[in-house]
Amino acid sequence: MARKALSLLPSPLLIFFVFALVSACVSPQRDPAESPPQLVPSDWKPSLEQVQTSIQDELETKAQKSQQYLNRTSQNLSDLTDARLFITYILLMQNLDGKEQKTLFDEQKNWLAKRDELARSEVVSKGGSLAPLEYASAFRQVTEKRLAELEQRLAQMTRKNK
Amino acid sequence: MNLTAQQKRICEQVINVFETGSVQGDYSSISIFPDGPGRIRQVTYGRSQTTEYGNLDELIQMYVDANGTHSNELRPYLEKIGVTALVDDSQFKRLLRDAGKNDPKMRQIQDEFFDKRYFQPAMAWADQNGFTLPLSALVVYDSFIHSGSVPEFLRKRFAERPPARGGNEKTWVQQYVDTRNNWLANHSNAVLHPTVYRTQCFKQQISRGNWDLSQLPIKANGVNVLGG
Repeated sequence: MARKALSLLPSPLLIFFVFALVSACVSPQRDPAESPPQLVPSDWKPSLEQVQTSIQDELETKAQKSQQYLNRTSQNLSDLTDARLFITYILLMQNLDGKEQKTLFDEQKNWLAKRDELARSEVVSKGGSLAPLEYASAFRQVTEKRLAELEQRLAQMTRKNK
Repeated sequence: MNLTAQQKRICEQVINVFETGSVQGDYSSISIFPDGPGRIRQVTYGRSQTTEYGNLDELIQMYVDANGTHSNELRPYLEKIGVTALVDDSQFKRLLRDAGKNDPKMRQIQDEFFDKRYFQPAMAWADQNGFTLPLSALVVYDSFIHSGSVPEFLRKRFAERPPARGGNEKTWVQQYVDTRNNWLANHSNAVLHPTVYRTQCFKQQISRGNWDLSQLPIKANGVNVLGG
């Protein structure tokens, strides 16, 4: 009877195989010593700077600027700056190990909440057509500072990895 | 504030130019700004701009009730506006654009709606504070459209009291326009500087003594306003 029961148990080799498979599935964390996974191919470098400069130039030289034009253009510039920040954040993220990635994620999450607070504090024309312009330009200024900061960190990281 | 139909029309046309660049205004204009609740993106619509999470539902209700060309198509959206985000609903935005561009009923409804939402509150404020001159009405209306009110922080920067508290109307308007002009021209956000075309237009009218808005055309941001 005992022998029959033992024969129903899987072999030690099978147990080891299943354990290894389950471990691999439930524990996706990489070995910290491993190099980070490539999220973005290294030769893919999207650029938004030219379109941003072009919009900025038009904003500065256009003769007649209605409030709607100013609001839309300012929002477009803010969106572009935010997109540039997003790209830089992803590029920086892929150069970090798991623990550093978590730190940067938390840091960015906190910063995003603060950015909104800062931009909102600049709006004095509540309920008026000037409010979107006040918000968008403050949002952009704060975002540009953060972009410069992350770009600097990315440049340092790239030099270090070379 | 007793304005003639012509004086009121001039006020509206000057503001239309400031806001949209044209005397008629842009009734089909749609902009997307992240100024909804919790800073979510929302639709901003119409000649003087009302928002999805603000009063757009009221405007569309008025239009649906008026049996405009697109009223039936917009009716199902009434229960969604301000509840479900419509910022990425291309059908909804197309209907708003088409109605603003092609349906005179939508233009008439917007005129009534923006009059009730902006012009009348501005004139009520002007009445309470003892203003009577048409140019004062224009300056106050502009302030309500641009800043949502006559901001208290600007009123604290000049000495003259409003007429209802014994001040001189023309002096108050002149000082308010100068104060507003300095605030916009020297704002820490340089992108606000170009908006001084509004206060510069008022300064020109003050300097030519156009208190009853009878001297036409009025040059507003490079566009001639004739009141016709």
